[in-house]
Amino acid sequence: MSICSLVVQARPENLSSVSGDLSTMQGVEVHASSEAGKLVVTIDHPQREVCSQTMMDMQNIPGVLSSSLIYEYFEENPNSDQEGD
Amino acid sequence: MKMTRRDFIKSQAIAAATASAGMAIPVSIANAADKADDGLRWDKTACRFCGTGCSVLVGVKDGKVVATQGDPDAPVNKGLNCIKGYFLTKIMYGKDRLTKPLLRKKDGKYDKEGEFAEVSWDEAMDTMADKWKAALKEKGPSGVGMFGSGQWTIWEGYAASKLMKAGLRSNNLDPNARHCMASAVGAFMRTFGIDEPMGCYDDLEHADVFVLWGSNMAEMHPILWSRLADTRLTKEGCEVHVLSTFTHRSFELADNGIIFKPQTDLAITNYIANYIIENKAYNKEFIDKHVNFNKTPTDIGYGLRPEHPLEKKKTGKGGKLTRISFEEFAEAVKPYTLDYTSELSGVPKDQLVKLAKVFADPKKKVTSYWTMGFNQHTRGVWVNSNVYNIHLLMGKISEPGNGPFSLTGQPSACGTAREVGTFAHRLPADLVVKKEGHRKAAEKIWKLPEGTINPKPGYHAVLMHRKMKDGEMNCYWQLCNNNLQASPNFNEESWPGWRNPANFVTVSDPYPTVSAMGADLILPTAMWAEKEGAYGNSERRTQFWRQQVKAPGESQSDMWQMMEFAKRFTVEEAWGEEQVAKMPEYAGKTLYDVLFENGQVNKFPYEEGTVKDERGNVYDNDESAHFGYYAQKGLFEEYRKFQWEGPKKGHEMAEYDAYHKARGLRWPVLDGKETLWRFREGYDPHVKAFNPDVAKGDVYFYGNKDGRANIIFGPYEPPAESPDKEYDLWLCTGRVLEHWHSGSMTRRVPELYRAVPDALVYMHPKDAKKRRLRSGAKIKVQTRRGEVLSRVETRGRNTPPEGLVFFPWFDAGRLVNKLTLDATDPLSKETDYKKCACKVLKA
Repeated sequence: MSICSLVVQARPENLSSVSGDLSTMQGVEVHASSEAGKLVVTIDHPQREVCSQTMMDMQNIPGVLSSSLIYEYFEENPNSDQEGD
Repeated sequence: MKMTRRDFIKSQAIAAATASAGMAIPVSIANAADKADDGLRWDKTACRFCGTGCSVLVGVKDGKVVATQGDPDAPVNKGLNCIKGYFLTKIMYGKDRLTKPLLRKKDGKYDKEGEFAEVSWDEAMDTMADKWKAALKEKGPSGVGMFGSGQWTIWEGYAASKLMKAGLRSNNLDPNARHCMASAVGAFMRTFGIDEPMGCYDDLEHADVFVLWGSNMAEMHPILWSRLADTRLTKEGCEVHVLSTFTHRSFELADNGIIFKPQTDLAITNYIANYIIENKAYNKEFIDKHVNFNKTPTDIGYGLRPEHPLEKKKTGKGGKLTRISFEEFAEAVKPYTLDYTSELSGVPKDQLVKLAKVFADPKKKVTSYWTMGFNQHTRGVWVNSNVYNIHLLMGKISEPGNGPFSLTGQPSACGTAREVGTFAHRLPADLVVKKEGHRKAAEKIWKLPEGTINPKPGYHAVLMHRKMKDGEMNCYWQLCNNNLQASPNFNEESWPGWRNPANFVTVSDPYPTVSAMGADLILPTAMWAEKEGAYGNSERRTQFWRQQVKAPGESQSDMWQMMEFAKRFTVEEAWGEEQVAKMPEYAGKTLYDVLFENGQVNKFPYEEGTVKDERGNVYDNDESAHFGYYAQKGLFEEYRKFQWEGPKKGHEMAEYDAYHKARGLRWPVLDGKETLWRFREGYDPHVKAFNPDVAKGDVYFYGNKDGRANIIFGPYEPPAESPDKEYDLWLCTGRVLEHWHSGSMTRRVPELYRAVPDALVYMHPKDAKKRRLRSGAKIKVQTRRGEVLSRVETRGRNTPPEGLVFFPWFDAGRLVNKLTLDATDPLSKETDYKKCACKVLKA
């Protein structure tokens, strides 16, 4: 299980196109955005490599000024996401 | 609704990101995040990479780091983390991590031409000590040297300084920070008489205008960049000006993106000073009260070997300042007219005027940032001072949003290299070996016999390699950096120095870097969160972390290695009988005894359970367990004596335990309070102490005796090597977002390696076409010193102008320093990695 969250800073005028581009990426969800061009994004994918590659690719979306990682969780146990109360 | 563990973790991730973005958290997520218990032990650490100094929370489970989070309570990064921070935990787990000492051997014995063989720590250190003793005997203290790091923890740097300067009486100690910000230090000392920026990162929210002089902050300091971007996008009228010799990612946000010809930053800065004076925009009251005008010797050469033709030609020397009047200064900058400067620099006039205007407008708060573009410069000290000149002329300094700010590239270039003073000419807390009073103060704190500290500055980074090549310095210990890859002119200076049969080279590193492979002895090293540590970032913030996990195999921290090495010398061997006779109680003792078991360093007891957080979690401290006392605390508390009892005020830090609680504190820390803006009454308590009559809110530059800062005229002078008919392109080296410096850590992270595997040569399409090269073509880059194979890139994030190529230096397989020239700033001794002449051919 590999989950991470990011804040992506887009140029405000590119907010909707950046949001659209992000949504098409593997395992990516956009949860919130602000007028100043900030987007709250998660990447959720069983393979950590896909998560990190996706994160690298985000930097190259036209209109993205920066992307910052906020939280990352990584666990090798494939069954761990079945646990819970 | 039933929530899985995955949902919990995800809601926690979203909550953290939303909070960091300053947005409201959806209620359901907030509730879920509150309930999530991930079973991890969370604790704060300081990031291992750049000088920004982000705080990162790491989650440990079963002795391994499994989760990270940007620290929401950290004022520096406010919960954010950059892409290198994302991979932070992976740097410890590279597959080729070194776990045992390795010594070159043939037939079971040390041999410089032998193959690396595993040896015990005892054999490693005994062999090394024999070589060092032989060199000391034959050449004296100048026969040995240590090359340290702005990535050392504070106590590692302090232990190094003590071992070399007090123990071995050698000032041949220099850090890789010499390659990084020695020019900034030189200018701080000349202008303000005290090192490090007066402002802090809070300026990122207060300024109206940001000017980046030779800094690609978007890639090299991404978190600061995100704060800057935030201000630019939300503050009415905010502007960003970016200056560079090629277009890079920081230009994406630039309102005024300026491409100038290499070295003409000297002219541009003088043009702005001239503009301010000609338009009578300067702050007369400020100048009259707080500034002295000076000029500096010119035509001072390029810090090459003395027999180099350029050195023989020079007519000036050194940096002794001569006082001049305001009128003389005005006269000196007068030739830097708009026409002349535009012509010389290649910058369109309207862009120059636009830049000058923001400085000249008294209503606009301007913060200047710079990094290697200014520092790696044969006139680095001058050009740093030239920016101070502009800020001082306008009085735009030492207040929120107004100030010049030199950014550092390493996590503790400030905290360790500069503040502890691991330079060839320095002692802790801004003291220097040249001054008798400073040496005496150090000898007193260190309990040394009088006259132990050598008054002569040692060899700086580049000179060390020259002295090794010439066989004058025979033992070299490099720790916590990769200088064989980083140092200029590999073919002619560093490599011949390292492989000179007369020399014994030790490298302490977690990984088999270019340096390690070029050494005779490799010592495996504990890194980052495998030890208790402390760093000092660019804004004077000192941050601590606890040991989170164990180092692999037999790896040991640099601090352990240096303290253990000290056990192998008696004071008689290190100091000579005469010096020992001055303190007969030291007779027969080892350097370890007198340096570390001196009643100060070993003052604080240690047992399991000593290192605890507020939540009751207990942490290891492997070195303290080994030595039997809280070694880091003892070293830090002794270091603090230099700040509090030494002859120079202004560097005071809080006591050890305070830093384990705080998210860092910016020195000077007086009465438990940090200082955000130095030199101004109301922000900095020292001002009133130095100048009791100071007016409310006024400044006093107490680093200089008369309380005034120095404006110093430094003219434009050409670089050491410029393109000509044969070598027809500028070669500029530098970094990329994905890799940190020489790549020894980041190239071991598979994702980063895959993203940017090799260093490409970025070139203008027209230059490529002229040479019949397609993007991606195999090429040879040649200079007068060597050649390197690579591929050409005409697209991508860096777009040079015609006549210049950019070739990053992270790639161990494409050593760009086979090409560079070892020209340095004669004042700061820092290499100019940004300018030499090359040609590019089809391979």
